Amino acid sequence: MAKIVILGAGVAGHTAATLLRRQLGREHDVTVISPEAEWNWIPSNIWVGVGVMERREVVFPLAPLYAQMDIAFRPGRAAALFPEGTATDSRSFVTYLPAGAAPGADPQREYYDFLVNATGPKLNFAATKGLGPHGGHSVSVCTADHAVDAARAFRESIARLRHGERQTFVVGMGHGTCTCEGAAFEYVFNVEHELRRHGVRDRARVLYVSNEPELGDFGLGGLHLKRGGYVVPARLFTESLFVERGVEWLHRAHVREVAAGRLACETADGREHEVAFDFAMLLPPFRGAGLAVHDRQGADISDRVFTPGGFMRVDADYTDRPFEAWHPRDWPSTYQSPAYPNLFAAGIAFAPPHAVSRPLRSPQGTLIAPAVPRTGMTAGIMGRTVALSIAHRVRHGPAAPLRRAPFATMGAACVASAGTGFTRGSAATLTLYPVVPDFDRYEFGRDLRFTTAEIGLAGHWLKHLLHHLFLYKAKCRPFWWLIPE
Amino acid sequence: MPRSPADHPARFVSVPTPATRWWRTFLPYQLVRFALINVKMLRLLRRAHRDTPPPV
Repeated sequence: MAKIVILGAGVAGHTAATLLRRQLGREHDVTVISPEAEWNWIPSNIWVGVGVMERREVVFPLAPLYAQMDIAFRPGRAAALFPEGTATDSRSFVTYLPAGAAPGADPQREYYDFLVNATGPKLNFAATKGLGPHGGHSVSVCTADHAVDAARAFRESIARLRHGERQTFVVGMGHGTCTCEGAAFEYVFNVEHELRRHGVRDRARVLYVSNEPELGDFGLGGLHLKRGGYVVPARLFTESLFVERGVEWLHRAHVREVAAGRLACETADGREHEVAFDFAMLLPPFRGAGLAVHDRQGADISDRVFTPGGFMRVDADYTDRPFEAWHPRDWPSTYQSPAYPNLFAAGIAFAPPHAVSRPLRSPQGTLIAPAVPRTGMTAGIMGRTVALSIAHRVRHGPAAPLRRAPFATMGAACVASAGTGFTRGSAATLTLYPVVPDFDRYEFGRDLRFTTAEIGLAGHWLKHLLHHLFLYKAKCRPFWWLIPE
Repeated sequence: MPRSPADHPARFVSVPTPATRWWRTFLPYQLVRFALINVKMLRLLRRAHRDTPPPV
C-alpha cells in the first residue's frame, strides 16, 4: 500500500489528487492537506470582483467531494517537511497545523511515500507598503473573498459616479516582480465594460499599471502573430484594445507604495509617478509557501529543497546566467525534486529557472521583471503529469519512468474576458505553442500556426463555457476525466 | 472614441475600423468563430501531445 500526500487543493493539487484517486486502487491512500476548505475556480474571480457573478458560483466545499472520492482531507496549513524522517523514525512525513487549532498547538504528522507540493502562491502583499485588502488601501481578486470585497468597493464607486462625482480606477500589478498580468488585464476591461453598462463611463478615468516591458507581454515575453501578410507582435493588438476602450496605461512600472487615495510608482526609465485614485485593484507578487525542511538529525536543509523565494527546486537548470543565455531546455519536465525522488512540485509551487520576459532595472536599481505565469492550464497539466508519474511508480516500482511535460513543448490556451453579456460581451482568445519560446526551432520563438489571438463575442461564450466545464470537472461529475486540463 | 493625451504612446497605435468592431459582435459570424476557436484549441492540444517527450 502506498500513501500519497498532496499539499494544496488548487488547480494543480486538486487535479493531482483526483487523478491519483482514479488511477490507484482503494488500497492506496491519497491525502490532501489544504488551508482552504473550498475549491475556487480563480479565473472567474474577476467576474465576482465586478459584481456580475456571485461568490457561490466560483467555489464549492472540498470535504464532501473528497469524502465521496475516498480522498482523506486534512484542513490545515503545511509547516515542515521531514523527507528523511527523524533519528528514531525513518519514514518521510510532513507536519501541518490543523485549521482552527489553538495558537501554539502541536503540529500533526502525515506520513507519505510520495508527496506533491502544490501549495500555490503566498500572496505577498507585504512586498509593497500599503498594498492589499488586509490593512492596505487596494483591493484584490486573488481569492473569492477578496473579489467579494472588490465588488463592494466597485459598487460604491459606481454609486458615486451616479451622483455626478468623477472617479479614477487603477488596476494592475502592485509590484515590479508580479506575475499573472492576464488577470489584471481581464479585470481592467471588465471594470471598463461595467462602467459603460451602468452609463457612467464618461465620468471615469481608467488606468492600467503594469510591470510588463510591453503591453501584451503577460510574462511570456510577448508573442507574434500572422496577420494580413505580416508577422506582428501581439503588442499592437493589445495596445489597440486599450486605445479603443479608452483605458490609459503605465507599463514598465514598479509600485513602491499605496496610500489612501494615491499610489507612488517608478518606471524603468527612472521617472517617478504619483497617481491619485478612488478605486485600486492591484495584484501582489507571489512567494512560495515557505515550508521548512529538516534532515534526519533535525538540521534545517530548506535551501536544498527550496529557493530563497520559497519555491521548490525541481529538475530544472538553475545555473545563474545572463538573461540572453537561457535556453528552453533549462525548464523542468518531470517536476521531481533533485534532492528527494519521492518529492514533486506542481503549479506555482515549483521554481522557474529564469524569467522569459526581459527583466528591466530602473536607474535607481529597482528590478522590474514579470515572472512566468504557471497557473490555469499549465498548472493542470503539471498536476496531471506528476499524478501519472506517481501512479506509475506505485504500480511498477521506484525505477519506473516518469512522465514529462516541459514548458518548451507545452501549449497553452487562454481566454481573457473583456466584458460579460451573451450578446455584448467579449474576450480575447489566445493560443500559443510552446509556452516557453524556443528560438532554435522557431524564428519568432513560437510556432505561428498554433499561436493565434482574436477578440470577440465568441471568446466570451467560450470563457463562460470553460467556467462551467472546469467546475464540472473539479466536482468529479460523470466522465470528468474526459475533459482535458 | 476617447482621445489620449498628446504625448501618450496611444497616438501611435493602430485601432480597429467600425467594420472590424461590428464583425466582433455579429452573431452568425461569431458562431462560426466559436466553432473555429474550439478547433484551434483541439489542434493545439494534439500538437502539444505529439511533441511531449517520452517518459524517462
